[in-house]
Amino acid sequence: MDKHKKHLLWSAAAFTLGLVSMPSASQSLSVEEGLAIDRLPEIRAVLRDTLEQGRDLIVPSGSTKLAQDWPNWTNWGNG
Amino acid sequence: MIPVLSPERLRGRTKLLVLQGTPFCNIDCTYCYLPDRAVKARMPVETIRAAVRWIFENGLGRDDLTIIWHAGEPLTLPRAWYEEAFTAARQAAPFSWRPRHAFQTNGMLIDDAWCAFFAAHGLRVGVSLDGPAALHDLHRKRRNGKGSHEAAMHGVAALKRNRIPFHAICVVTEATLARPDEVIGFFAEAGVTDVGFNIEEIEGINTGSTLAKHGNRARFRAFFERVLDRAASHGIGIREVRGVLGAAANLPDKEWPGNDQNMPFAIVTVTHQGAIYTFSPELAGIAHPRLGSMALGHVDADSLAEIVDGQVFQTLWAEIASGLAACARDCAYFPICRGGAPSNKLGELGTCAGTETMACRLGQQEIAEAVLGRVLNEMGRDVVLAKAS
Repeated sequence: MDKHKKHLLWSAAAFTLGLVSMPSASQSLSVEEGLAIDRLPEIRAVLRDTLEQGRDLIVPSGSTKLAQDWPNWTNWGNG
Repeated sequence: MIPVLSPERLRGRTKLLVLQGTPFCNIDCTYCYLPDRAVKARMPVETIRAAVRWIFENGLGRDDLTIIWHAGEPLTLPRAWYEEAFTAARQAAPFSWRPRHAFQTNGMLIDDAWCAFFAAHGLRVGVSLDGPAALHDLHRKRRNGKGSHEAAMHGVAALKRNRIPFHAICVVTEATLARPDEVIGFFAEAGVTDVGFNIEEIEGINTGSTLAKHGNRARFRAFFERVLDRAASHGIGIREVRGVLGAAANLPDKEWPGNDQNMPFAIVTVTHQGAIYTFSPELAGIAHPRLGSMALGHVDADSLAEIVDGQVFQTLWAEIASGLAACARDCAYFPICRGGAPSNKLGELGTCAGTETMACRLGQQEIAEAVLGRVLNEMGRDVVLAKAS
């Protein structure tokens, strides 16, 4: 097995076994200050609280009934 | 072998079976990724039966499995063929499967007869529309070079006349970026209430994108922000909003951390010849210079266990999982996009083990910023919550 493939297999195994963790947004070196993604934990808490209380989020252009009934849009490819 | 990918761990993982009834398409879009779209072949009914049987007998299928007829224009096949195809699928699946068939079509052949067929079978319909004619006809061309917008709109009119629910998928090219008001105005006037935006991707035989230019990231963001504003005022739902909110509400599953395109067998594509693919559907039919064909096996010949142990799957999964790990480690947007699409990584970076692509920057990061930014604004105004009706 060549070195490149060994590295790939190790990375895959480490990831699937949980040895590589998800980053928190604040740990990312690529994120600049002021990005919404930096506040994802706060957003998630609000979203989850909303869902747990059986309430809907008011977000412009959110889901419609058709969208909720259609989980598998072709979100790949050109056209 | 990667231990977590025993067939037992893959049980019930397939949500979507893409069946290529035909590779043929009656138009020739400039950005199309399908290599065999001039080939007038059709999938034998026995292959349909074998494909559905393969999914369920190998334990991948679930009762809410959707079959989508795609990777060619599905309406170039006759309705009688689909009657046979649906019967074959029904017979090959367990009794507990609730048949769900979907068409992704360019709309040009839709008429009242097709609408009656859609209604009779409860089919789900997606129409590819790039907005008004001036945008649509730039890329969605017939083989004689003429545009296809007028014919597509005849199809949309038939859907509306027959009250068939449908959504639209709009490919965003560089020309689209300057026209968000026209795009949303077009969909509003056409009576389209649900739209998804696919950015023009570099993948398969489509080796370039008009979006791949300096400055287009900011332009795309401005476009999408304006789309959200205008869509809200017209009551149009945007697929990407739902996607971001859904991902943001839930932490990635440690057992199954990726998305449907980078986790094995979440999507299975079977070509008209019976070849099996997984991961991004666009990988089907590609002859990659380094990886060659990414066909994993054949529905008549290979079990899931043989495929998972095979060289093609092992090589592909090693690359994809490595890319996933790198995305999880390095990218703040991983909780939203969950590792990107192998087809985009392969098309742009030459390897599925890579990380950020143009497709990520526009189709994931900027969209996430726009949607999450709006949630934050609503949270700031403390009016984010409302009682469900």
